[in-house]
Amino acid sequence: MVELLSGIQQVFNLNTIFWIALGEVLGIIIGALPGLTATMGIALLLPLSFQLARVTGIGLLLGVYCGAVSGASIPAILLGIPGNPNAIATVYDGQAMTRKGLAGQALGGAVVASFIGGILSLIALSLFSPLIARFTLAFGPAEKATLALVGLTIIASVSAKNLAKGILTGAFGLALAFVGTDPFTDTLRVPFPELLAKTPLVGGIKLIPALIGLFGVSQVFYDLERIQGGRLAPPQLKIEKVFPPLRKVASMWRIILESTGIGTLIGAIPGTGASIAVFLSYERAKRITASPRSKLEKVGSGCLEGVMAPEVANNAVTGGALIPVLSLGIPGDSGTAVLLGALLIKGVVPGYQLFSQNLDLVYAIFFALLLSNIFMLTFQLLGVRIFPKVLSIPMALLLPVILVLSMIGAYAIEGQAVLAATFDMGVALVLGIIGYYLKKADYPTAPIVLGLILGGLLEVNFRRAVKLAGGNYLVFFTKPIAVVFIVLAIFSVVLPLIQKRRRS
Amino acid sequence: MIVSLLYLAFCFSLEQYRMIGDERGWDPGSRALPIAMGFLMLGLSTYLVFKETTKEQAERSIPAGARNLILLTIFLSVLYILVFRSLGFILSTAILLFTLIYFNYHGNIRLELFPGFAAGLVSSTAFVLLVYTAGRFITRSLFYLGRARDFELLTSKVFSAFTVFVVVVPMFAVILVFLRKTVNKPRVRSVLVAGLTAAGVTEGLYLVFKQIFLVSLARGIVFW
Repeated sequence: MVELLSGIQQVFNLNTIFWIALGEVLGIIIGALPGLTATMGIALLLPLSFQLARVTGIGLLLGVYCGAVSGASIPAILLGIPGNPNAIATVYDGQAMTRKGLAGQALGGAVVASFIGGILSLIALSLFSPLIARFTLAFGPAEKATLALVGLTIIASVSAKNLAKGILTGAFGLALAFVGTDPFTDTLRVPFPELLAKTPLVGGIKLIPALIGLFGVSQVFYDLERIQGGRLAPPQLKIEKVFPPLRKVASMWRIILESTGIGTLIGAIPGTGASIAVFLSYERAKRITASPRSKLEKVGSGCLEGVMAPEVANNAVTGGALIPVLSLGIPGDSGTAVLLGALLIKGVVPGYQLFSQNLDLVYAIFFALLLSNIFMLTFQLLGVRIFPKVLSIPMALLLPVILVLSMIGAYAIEGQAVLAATFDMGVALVLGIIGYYLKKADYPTAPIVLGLILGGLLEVNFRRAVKLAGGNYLVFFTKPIAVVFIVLAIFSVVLPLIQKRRRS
Repeated sequence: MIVSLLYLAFCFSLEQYRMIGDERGWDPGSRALPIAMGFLMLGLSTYLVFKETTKEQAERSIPAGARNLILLTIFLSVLYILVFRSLGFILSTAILLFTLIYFNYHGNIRLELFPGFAAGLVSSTAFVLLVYTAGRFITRSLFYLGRARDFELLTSKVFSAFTVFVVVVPMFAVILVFLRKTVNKPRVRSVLVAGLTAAGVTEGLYLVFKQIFLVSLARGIVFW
């Protein structure tokens, strides 16, 4: 009870409420701009959260996360262009409703759906994450090392069309994580130690500049290719009757519940992401409405059912994706990979310890997510006529601003040590160029982030496990939980190969 | 593949160290996993290089106009990092922003754009310095006034940042409304958009990071 009250107190104060609200507005704007993703938004605001108190900073990032996921529906409905992959399935019925003159109802329906999905998945998060976290009590070095391996292989296999590319970028992330200083002996692991022994590289590649480079700077280069397209023209529509009829929403209870279940479950599986969840829920809603007994409008014909199903699912992913983050320290998608990095930087160590010793912080995170969802509903409904205007911001203006924000963001982490801070800007730029090249060549960047996050965990526990076993490398096959993780890792690598062979 | 080879060479150049108290050599050592990763990357990159089709190579090509803009962005970003400490945050940021917005606005880098660029850069930099100086003057005046009158609110960093914001925003709004009505030429308009955005973003970042969060943004030659 004391922890619950403390959690409430940490969130419901003017300072935190202000920053969550600001994060929400920025998130909606970022989500509404095609090409800008929730992951990029979190990465860009990470340095700002770094300057704030722990819960306030986490609240700001959760606000951006929720806002960006729901904001992506605005261009999907009005222009037929999803703001980010989360809103791909919203395009079909959303655009059709706009053409019918029902843009207001589509936008309102998407917001209400996002809110329902977000709240229901938050309930799932608060119920399941403590239970899963309890398992981590049984984890020794061998289990932790293999868990890190599972996280890496899953995200590598799911985030790339080509498995080899996913694993290669994951290995690249790990390779970067090993640069710096050896965790056990403090010996240098930098190239040209005579030259670089006194540079900030000794401390390793820091996560925040790397994230900003991979998701912020690289996106700027990527979008520069499209700059000649100019600005998007938001259609001059009369947006009326924003709030969907309650009776209609209530009649969709089955679609809402199933989409929430799909979103939460898919989100909770590391590496899957919202784009799978939205298509699954859309297809499910299509089947439900196609049934002769159903009184609902048929999904695909430009109806609220077709907008709400994917929107419930994509916001249900936000809560679901946080389940493995808080309980195991394994992110569900690239957005939560960045969030996990932020939590670690803020001193939050996921797992059983978090739930047993820092329960007030867990409650604070839950309440911050709740508040984010409430703000998302409020701001989106109030600003339903205002937010679409961000679509008219020209990319020519936006991209240099994002670049400078990325640079200053990377600098601000070591804001008092000018040399280290300038070095971080360099790291962000170099990884931005690498990230751009990788995106162009269709390599995923999320495994690099996970490699950077999990590299330390993998190395420390791998070496500790082998040493404790007297130099026996087969120790990982003698522990049941570790064996389960190894099987999962192999499964995650082999399954996409089998699926590919079947398809071909 | 080249990166993998370089990484492997770096790993093999490292000395092998084991944990303290590990006399029997059970610890795999400080370079075991880096070497393993190096070989994994080498194997996978070799496989991918041979597997890559010409179609995939073609998809990677960049349109000529965009290529120039990307190269300009990379070049200016490197320059920005190099001169950040000597030139200072205000000047380097304003120049970077103005240049990028101006050329992005035109979608390419052409010779006939340079006269407008030079004039715009000078006037935009002067405007940024004006806004910055006004902001500093307000902040300092509030601080001295607060101290002299023993009024703590005036010395607060958030309050002074907010006051600067309240003074500067109408300044921008008036200029924007005036120019919108008087300037019709697209080329002049691009200079104004770039200049105003550069000034606004630079001052905004300064207020948030330096004044509120006390990040030590380099002053450089703008010493006041």
